[in-house]
Amino acid sequence: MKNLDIIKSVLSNQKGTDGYSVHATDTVSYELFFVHGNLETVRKSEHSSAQASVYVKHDGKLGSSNFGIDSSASARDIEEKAAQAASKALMIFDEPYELVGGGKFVGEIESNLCGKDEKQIAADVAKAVIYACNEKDCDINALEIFVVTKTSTVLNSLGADKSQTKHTVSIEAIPTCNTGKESVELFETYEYGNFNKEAVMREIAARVQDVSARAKAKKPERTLDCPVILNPYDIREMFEEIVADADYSRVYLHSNLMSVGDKWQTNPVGDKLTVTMRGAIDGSPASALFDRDGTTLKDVVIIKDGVLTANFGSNRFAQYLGKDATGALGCINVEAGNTPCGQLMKEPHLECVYLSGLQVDLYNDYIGGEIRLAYYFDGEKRIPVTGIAMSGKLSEVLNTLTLSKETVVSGAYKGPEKIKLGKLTIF
Amino acid sequence: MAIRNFLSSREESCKRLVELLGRRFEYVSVLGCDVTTKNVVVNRRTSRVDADTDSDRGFVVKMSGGRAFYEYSTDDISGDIVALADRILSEATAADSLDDSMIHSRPVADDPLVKSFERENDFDKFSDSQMLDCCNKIKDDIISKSENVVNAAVMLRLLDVNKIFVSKNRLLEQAYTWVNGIMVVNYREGEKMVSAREGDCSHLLGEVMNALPDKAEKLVAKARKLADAKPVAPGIYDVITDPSVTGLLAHEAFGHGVEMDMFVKDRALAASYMGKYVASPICNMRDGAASTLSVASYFFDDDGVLAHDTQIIKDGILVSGISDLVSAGELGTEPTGNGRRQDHTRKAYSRMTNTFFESGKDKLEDMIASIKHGYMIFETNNGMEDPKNWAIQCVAEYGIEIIDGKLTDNYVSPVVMSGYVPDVLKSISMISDAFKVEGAGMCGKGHKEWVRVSDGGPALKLRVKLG
Repeated sequence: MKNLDIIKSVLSNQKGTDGYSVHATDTVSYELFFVHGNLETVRKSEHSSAQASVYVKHDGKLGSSNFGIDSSASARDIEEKAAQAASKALMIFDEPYELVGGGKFVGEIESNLCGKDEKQIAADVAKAVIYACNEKDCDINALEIFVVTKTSTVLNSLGADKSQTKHTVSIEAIPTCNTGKESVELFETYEYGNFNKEAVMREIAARVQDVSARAKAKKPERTLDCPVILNPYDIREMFEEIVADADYSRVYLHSNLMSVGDKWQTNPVGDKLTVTMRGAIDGSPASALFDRDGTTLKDVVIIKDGVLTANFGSNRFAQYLGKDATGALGCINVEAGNTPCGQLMKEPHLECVYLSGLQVDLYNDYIGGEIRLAYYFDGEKRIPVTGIAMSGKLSEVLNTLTLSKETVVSGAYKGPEKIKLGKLTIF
Repeated sequence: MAIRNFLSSREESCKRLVELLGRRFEYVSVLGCDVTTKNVVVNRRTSRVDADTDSDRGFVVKMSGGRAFYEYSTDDISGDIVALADRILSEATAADSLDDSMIHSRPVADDPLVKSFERENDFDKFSDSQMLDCCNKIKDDIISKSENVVNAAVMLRLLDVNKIFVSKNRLLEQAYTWVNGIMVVNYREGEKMVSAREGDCSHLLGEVMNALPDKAEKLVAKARKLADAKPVAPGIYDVITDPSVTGLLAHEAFGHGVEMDMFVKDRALAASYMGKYVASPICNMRDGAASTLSVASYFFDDDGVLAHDTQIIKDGILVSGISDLVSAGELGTEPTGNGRRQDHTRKAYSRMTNTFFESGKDKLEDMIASIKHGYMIFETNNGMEDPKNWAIQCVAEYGIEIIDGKLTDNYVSPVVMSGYVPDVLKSISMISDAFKVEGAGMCGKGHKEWVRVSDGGPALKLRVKLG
């Protein structure tokens, strides 16, 4: 951010404040948008902005106020905003806490995208996706590619001066199958910290096969009563809800459901869950070295054998609770099971490929959703089905998990590639 | 005109950039954004007054010369405009290998228009201290109502939009505001924790600050009921939707389905249903920034097209879609003022604005009385569209069981409503004479590109799967 030095200088000298922190981002995004394989729009975006906070100690409390700064802001603009924020901070009576300690740090999340030409990467991705769609009657109706480099910088009044750079490729692809009267699609998004052409092609080819299956899918003639197998995207959705309950901020605000020592699995008849929150996972776009406060991220096991063993979270709420600041950990690592996928899928089951959106409601002990495409395996045949939904009690479902031995990285999640769940009603 | 200095001071630079890039491209436009925000948030243990933490300030340049569209987003247009034009021409390009795959686009209409738009607002009448006091009083009131309240949060979210649009023939400016007031309570009874919310919205802050305090009692009463809520037994029921869920249905069932960039991509089944029945003949549905006054009531869209009021379904028949500039060009239709960006760094797509079913003639009490066994369902949680295959999922916060034509005290939560869009819409048998649009929504395109939307309408009676 071109005015970062000015921001630092102004905030360091701002009268009436006892501290400051700044989180600045510089984002360069190169984007291609295709319709039916034809290039419709080319975009380049170069954007910098910062969020600043000023802190004022008063009446035994700590007041703070946050404000945005754009890259064109002058010293005078920043002074004005900082003065306004200082007066706002006097109206705030929060418990005091210390900012994250200082030190200079410059890092880059490991990625094979580093130093590569963004236009060439985007063109390579486009070719890989379009080439991978070679199923009869199938097409990629829409394709969006984002090649992003983002640098985050944290400065504060205790001398923190840290920056990290991350490279990602995001793909939104819509494979479609047209068979006579029927035309069906699947909506898929992928985000990678590394670009592996073969892996992208495998993913797309698999989805194209799925969409071909969706064209043949029918609503089952009878009610299905069998275990359900989730794919990595929905497994990630489920665990994102579960781990969010362990955040320090929820504990401080008494809105957490589970306390340390409580059992997520009260009576497990399947595999026991062990979940580690991590700062970085190889290939995950959610990887980071430090959070927006500047806290260096520390991995922590939050669920061990189905029992909540720890909370995690950012500096402020860690201090309020008297705990170690792990930082705002963004990656979820679920320990794999011992059952190979082949064995896990040997008995009759319903393998969900595409849901409208997995609904997980911790407070109401609910898990469910509408199924747009699943494969029902009756013990002999794998039959594509659609037009059904599932629901159950999350607490009962979690007791029945079978975790695959094979693992996968999907967004912020690394863990079993397949998870089998029981106790779900399919209707 | 109340356009702030950031944009007004760049107007000449924008014109100069349009002129320079116009030497290479047939069509060039610049959208300038200066969207400021203020958030006042209090809860039981923390509070804050933040400014511009989710603001949007910058420009996006759009160019077309008969092939693909090019866009360049930047935080500022000032200083050496010739150098900026050169940079845009070198950066917003594709690899040579993609040249042959580019679309051929029609010329973009650029009808002359110079106009400024402004809506009255009252943000200057209230200090930060007054807003904070208002939130704190409501929060304390909520907490005082029950020892089971473990946390209460009260928020005022202020949005102040300034935009300019510059092309060879157009110069448009707009200024408008919106404010959302939100109250959330976390309530614990025994082992059960529930969350409930209430809110209000307007373009006037004073209206919201006046309305919120009266809703505290209702909020806590609702939380008490939700603590006793049971899951709904999966099945097909007669259902009445409140205006919030009606709006969600409009949004997910036929809002996304008529976004015409989906027509271009052959991603919307609706394209082949124009002029055909898609809903019960008593259904009428509209969308438009000019359709009603709510959060998406801008004067011109991010393509510089003036706000419209578009009838989507008329007497059960699908009559129109909604479009942005690019998709209308590709389809050979007129854009409907629905080109919207998440912010200046993002692409414009065809997006909904204020989407709703029109009211009918039935009384809500008659609708309830007509149901032997079913549910009235309330408050949008989330939804997911499927414009290609018309599957739909709408999640409501809670429902109340109806037995023998009367609302009972039996609450169910959560409530997931799903089905096949035409089946759901054709099952609509009664429409209430009430009408309410809620302007607190955020809508994504797929899983990204979030824009502020409103939706609503009357109460609907329909038959649908709950689970």
